[in-house]
Amino acid sequence: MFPFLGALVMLIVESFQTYIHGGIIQVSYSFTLENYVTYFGKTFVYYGFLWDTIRLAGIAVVISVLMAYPMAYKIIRSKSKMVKKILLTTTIALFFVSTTTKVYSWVVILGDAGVVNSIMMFLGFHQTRYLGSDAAIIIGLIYFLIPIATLALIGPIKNVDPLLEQGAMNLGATMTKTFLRITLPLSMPGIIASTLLVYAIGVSSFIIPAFLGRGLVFMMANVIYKRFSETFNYPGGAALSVVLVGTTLFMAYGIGAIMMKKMRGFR
Amino acid sequence: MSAYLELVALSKRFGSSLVVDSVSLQMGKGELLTLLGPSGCGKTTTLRMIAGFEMPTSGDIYIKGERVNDKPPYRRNTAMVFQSYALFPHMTIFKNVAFGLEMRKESRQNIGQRVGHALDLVQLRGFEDRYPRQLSGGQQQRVALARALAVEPDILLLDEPLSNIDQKLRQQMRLEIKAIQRRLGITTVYVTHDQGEALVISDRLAVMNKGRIVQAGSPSEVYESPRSRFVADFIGEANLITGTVLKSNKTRVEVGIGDGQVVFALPDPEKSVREKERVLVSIRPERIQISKTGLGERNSLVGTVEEVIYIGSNVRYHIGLGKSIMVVDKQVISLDTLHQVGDKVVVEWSEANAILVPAE
Repeated sequence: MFPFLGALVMLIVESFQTYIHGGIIQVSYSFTLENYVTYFGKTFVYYGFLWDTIRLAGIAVVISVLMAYPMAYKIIRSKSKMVKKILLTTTIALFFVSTTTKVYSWVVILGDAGVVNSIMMFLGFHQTRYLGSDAAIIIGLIYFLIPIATLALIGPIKNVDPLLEQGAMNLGATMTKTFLRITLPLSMPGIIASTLLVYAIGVSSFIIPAFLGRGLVFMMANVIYKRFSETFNYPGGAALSVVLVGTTLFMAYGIGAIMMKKMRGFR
Repeated sequence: MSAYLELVALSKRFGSSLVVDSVSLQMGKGELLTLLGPSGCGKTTTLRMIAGFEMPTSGDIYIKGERVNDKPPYRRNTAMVFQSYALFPHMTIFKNVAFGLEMRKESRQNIGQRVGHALDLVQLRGFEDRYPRQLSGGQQQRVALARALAVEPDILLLDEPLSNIDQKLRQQMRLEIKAIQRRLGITTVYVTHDQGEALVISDRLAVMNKGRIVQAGSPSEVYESPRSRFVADFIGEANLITGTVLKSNKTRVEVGIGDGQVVFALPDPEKSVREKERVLVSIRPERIQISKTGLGERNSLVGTVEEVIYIGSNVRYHIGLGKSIMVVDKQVISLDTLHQVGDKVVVEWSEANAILVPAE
């Protein structure tokens, strides 16, 4: 806990430092707001990056959770032990594949000479550039986030007592009605929490936009990286990081508070 | 008259274990039948098959003459009350009880009426807007019952509904359940491992062990005439004396129990015994007389009081008879009439109270 907080504090402190071109090591400490002003006051370019990040991550997260829920449900409720094992093992196995490998596989599929283009050209369509588009990044993010979402959703779904579902069916609710009236409402707090978790991971992704964005689409992590590594603008990078973390926390807190209000009934 | 509920050779296998082994029974409308047995005997699985939560491995289930094996739970008109109540935590009591009616697309007005009526039956009017977690265990169980009754099911299924409730409340609630069942005339299958409960509420009871029904009948039939050691032991308590048949005729069987001692028992009308056959003579502890000098019964043995267990309303004696112990239950009239440890006493019983049970 404390190492994280310590690093975060240092980051915040750094964001208020003056940017000395070419300088890496801090000689003396100063306090200035110019980093924030430069990026979010004077020009609006960086709002664009921030918005892109939130938008792409948001879309990817929603789709990932929607696809992960049925998987997680099957893992918990499937009557066949074999099915459960296979699904769970697959999900966990996907974790152990490094992100770089996963991303590269999509480069292979979506690249100019990749699988999709080869098939399209064979069918008579033009070669299309898929990489460097929003869609490519979203696909990459989804592929990366689904295993995480699946595992995160297992907890909330498991917490729904199967007897409640049986009780509902016993009283005349079909499988669909049981899901909509019993399983979904009861697992909702967990779904929200998992979604926020997956969002936090998605919003900070670096490799995926780096490879699939092809320099045309940037997410915040990439921008921050450029600040740190290309121009050694540590204060600038720090400021951007703080803004990213801040907006994410704000959204999480906001959504959490709304959920609390809605659920004054039973949790 | 065809049966309201009929199970024909119903079996269920989980992996390699046969949990329900060819169970057959018939129930008439309005009857309360109890499936009674120790944990793991298959009674709950049988109930769940009737409800539709488990598919039978073989055999058939007929409700009102219709074969329902292939009907999913939501198409059978059964309603289950679970041991853990299974109330929907995110709904009010009203919504819980109304749930089945909503699924059946009843009108708002109708639902309001029937929910009110159901809550009246269980004496929980006024609790409509509360949430399950605000209610006590006993109240929650009553809501579960109301929820099941509200849909007016063909068959009411109760799965050890009182197991999680404390003793005193349990005794009261079992009578309430019986009264409601009688009043509504609703065909009910009740599952429990508590034989006292089974004896109190059942019209008929079926004793199960290891997946099979070992004996079925009215409570008094099963209590008075157990047909196996298991039933004699499981229902009430029984002193079981091993012996060999010496003589047997239509009215009485003479059994030698060793050391030249002889006791007499009623023959089983269904099964005659041969000479030299090994049998068990079963006598209930409360049907035994105990005195210092004996009262002239033909079945009498002499023994020593080894233990006196005082339970308030009753006293339980452990009488040593040579190699075995006989358990005798007596009401306590006053403390000074109790026998003491070490007393020599005579234990006696009439042969009408001695049942022959096959030795296994």
